[in-house]
Amino acid sequence: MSRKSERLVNLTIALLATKRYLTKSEIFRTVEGYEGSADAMERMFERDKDDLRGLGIAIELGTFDPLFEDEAGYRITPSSYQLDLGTLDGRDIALLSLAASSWSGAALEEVSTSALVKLESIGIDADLESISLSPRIGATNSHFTIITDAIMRRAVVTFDYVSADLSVSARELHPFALRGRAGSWFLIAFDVNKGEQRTFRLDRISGEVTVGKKSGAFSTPSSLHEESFEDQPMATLLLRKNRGNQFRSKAKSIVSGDEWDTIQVPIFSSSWILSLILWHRDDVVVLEPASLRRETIRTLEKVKSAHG
Amino acid sequence: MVKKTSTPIEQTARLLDLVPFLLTHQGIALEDLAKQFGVTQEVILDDLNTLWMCGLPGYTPLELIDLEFDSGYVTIRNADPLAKVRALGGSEMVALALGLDLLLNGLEGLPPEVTDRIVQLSERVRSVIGSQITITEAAQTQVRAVIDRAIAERANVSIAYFSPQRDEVKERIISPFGFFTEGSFEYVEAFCDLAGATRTFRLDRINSVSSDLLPRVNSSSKESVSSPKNSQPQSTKARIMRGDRWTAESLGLSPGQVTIGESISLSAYSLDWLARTALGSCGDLVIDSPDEIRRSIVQSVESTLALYEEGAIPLAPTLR
Repeated sequence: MSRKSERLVNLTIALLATKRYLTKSEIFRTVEGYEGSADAMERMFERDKDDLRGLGIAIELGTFDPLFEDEAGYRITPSSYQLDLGTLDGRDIALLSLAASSWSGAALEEVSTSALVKLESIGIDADLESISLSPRIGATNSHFTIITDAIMRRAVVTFDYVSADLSVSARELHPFALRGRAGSWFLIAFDVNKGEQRTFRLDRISGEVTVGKKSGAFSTPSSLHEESFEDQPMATLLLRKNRGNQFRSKAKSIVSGDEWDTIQVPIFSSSWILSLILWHRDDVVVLEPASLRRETIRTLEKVKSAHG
Repeated sequence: MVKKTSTPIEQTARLLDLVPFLLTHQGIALEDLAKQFGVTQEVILDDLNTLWMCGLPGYTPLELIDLEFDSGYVTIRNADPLAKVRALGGSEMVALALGLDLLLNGLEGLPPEVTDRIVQLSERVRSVIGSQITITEAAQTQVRAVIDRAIAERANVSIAYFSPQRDEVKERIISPFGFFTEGSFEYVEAFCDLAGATRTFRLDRINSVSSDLLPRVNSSSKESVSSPKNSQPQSTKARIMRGDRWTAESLGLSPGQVTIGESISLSAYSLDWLARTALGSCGDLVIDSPDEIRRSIVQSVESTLALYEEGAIPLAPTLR
């Protein structure tokens, strides 16, 4: 049994039930668990406020009468304390519960358990039969939770990252957004030292992620520039029939022929596409752009001379 | 995952959430209550004993929360100040929002009425937390959901599996047992008809899955099963000529394991795979031995280069 959690619950009850602001001396006199010297109680109360804030419970500071300089008091407004997702019926509860259950065994399992408890506590029975499949979040990276938390708190993160040239360097970032795409998680962040927005794949982080203590350390831009399919320059490739599956899954268009199919595929990065073209050996031929065609021939000759 | 211990802060959160839950679940068994909160019965008992000491200032029986749980079933009274369900926290909202993303993007063939509701719920949650954290592409969800059902119903399922080693997509009928995660990938373990043995399949390489489950047949009734190859890894010598993340990731080497220009030993089950990796590295990985693999690299480069000669592919279909 913990005296601290008992005191925190009693403080919450007292501040939630009161119609007016309770002064510190009233709190120390009436709420169970505050004892010791005035200084000790003061420190205890400051920590308790921080702890409750950490749980998402906002303690409001105010005075009885704005015209007089009264001693300030505290309370928790019920509207800020309680769950409010608008009117929910049984089907909404069912869908939200299904959404929360998708985390079983994955990074946010613990918070989704408490979300499920809250949904159940509303006291409306879940009602839905039309979805027989329950989705699951697949593998999540071990850094997932800590980075989500940093994004929500707008706290600075630092970690070592493996660059394309395999060098490992420390990054200091303002994390803006996290995108799950094709089984990988991508962090979109402002790189403080590079002075621009960059994208990081979570599984290329080397070692631990450190999150700054300060919340609200930066502001998140209202619109992020995100790479999309349409922004990329396109390459036209010939793929041998039933081959080149990694290109086919990313193709914008495919025209079938007898022995060869012609596809258009975005050039996400020049090294990425060159790598994949060479990997496919004589199952892929570059038609356009001419620069990529030249680079492919040049690189093929380089590989040949290294092994000849 | 059942928790056995918790910090005072975690306990506080649970105590505050216990009250509204118990108010709507009067008479719940201790065992079920512990399960709901994801903790052991000892932890829940400790919680109830603590909660019993809480109430409004004054702390006489009139103000204290009244709990009854000696019988193994829990009832609660006199808990009005904490009756309201607590607001969802930031990470709870994120969990819900991503779960809704998955429902929406990952499952096929939902009735429009359901889709509309998911969109509306998602908008409500997103209005609080914003859209910084999203799942934009969740192709694996459908695959996973169908295989999950096959496991539950002990059924077989037909998958189209992509093998990057051979650049091939093959139809396979599998009897899945379970999922596991290794590194950042999720796998399904299953008996594979084609291989006639237990195999693991990376979920993101299952291109598609038939939504109809197949009955699980007795494995003795299988016809012509190709026997799994008991191949030995071959040892090869290679050099990495330049720091390149693609090459290191393909070979499963961490940056610290790569020394530029130094001869290293690589063992590979498939020389073909290693040859492709050398090609994909664009010259950053050079294979020194065996000669067989060097020759095959040169040969495939020559046949590829031949395709770039004028008139090599006369009947290429044109776009638009």
